[in-house]
Amino acid sequence: MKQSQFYYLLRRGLFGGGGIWAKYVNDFKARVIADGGTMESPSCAKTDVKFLVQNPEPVAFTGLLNDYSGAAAAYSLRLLDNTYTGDAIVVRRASDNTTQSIGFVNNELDTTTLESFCSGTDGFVTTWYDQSGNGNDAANASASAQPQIVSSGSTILENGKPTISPPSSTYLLLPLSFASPASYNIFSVLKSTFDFNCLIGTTDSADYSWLAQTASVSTTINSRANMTAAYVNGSSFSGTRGDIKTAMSTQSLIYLDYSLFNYQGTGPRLAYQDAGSFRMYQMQELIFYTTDQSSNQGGIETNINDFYTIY
Amino acid sequence: MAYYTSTTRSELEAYNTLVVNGEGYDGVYTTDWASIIEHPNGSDYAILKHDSYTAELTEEETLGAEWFPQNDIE
Repeated sequence: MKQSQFYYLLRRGLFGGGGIWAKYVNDFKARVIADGGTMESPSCAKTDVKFLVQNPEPVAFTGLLNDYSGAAAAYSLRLLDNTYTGDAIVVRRASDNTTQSIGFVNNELDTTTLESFCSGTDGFVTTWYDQSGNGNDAANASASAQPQIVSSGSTILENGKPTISPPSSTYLLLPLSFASPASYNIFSVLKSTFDFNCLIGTTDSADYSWLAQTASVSTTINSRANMTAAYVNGSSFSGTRGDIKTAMSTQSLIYLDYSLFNYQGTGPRLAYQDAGSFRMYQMQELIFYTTDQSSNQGGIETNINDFYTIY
Repeated sequence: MAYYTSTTRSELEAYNTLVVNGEGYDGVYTTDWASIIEHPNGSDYAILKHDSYTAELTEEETLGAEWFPQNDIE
């Protein structure tokens, strides 16, 4: 709000009225009373008007994990929890291989710092921090396998938001605990950018889930992972690998209910084996719960879709 | 993407070390250039070639599908 606009409101005597200025006006009124001043006090008005113009009270941020707590792991390029004080990612720039942690500004990825750091060069994600508080960071220490987030100095975007984009056979590794038998409810914002994609695999060729494969009529989309329900963009989904490929060919929100992940291999990762065939999906958000979230599904999907505007 | 192949795994490990030393990775978040890929036959190995580093190894323009079997994905 411009100072002149506020003075106009003062002159018009709109104190305590409704509309978009009501909060500012009521705050101002309270401060005048607290200061023992009067509405007509020029010095008080000037001081308080300046304060209000320069320091409007921020609207409290509430993240997805504040409303829907208990995630086992939560990766995102937006802030998911107002108590999380860590960074979003660690990025390695191609020009000299130095790394830098990138945090959040206004609850979204700090792309200004990211692009400044990667000035004119490519940037690759070495670590995608877990915001759940469980320390389950996803990472890859092999340079050639790190997915990309900056191309020639520009943040890679999907539908206007930053995205982790896997060029060729790149992927991130999940903590070892993800190879242990467990049930998972998974929410993710992703997109298939190859003919073959796999959500989670291990070193074992028989461990895979949520396969997308161009033109495939196979209905075997999971192995050693018992999926009891799948939703794409809020609607129940069942189909072939080809159907998944078609559905995921644009930015999508998925909710997958796995009653049991019983992977046998080691090194769980966001791809199939070494991503030579079924590769990592392009990703913006990935949240794991080990508890049933069916009663929260609508709320979580709304939270995600309100931010990403997918459907 | 080109690859170096060998029947001797240590030769590819040495190539990885060559790249790591040359590139000066931070050793914390990035420790390797690339993982060594093992052929299903158990006797051939491959590593992704870095454009800036050459070695006296067999170079392949790409790895055939036989390197990435999908036996369990039918």
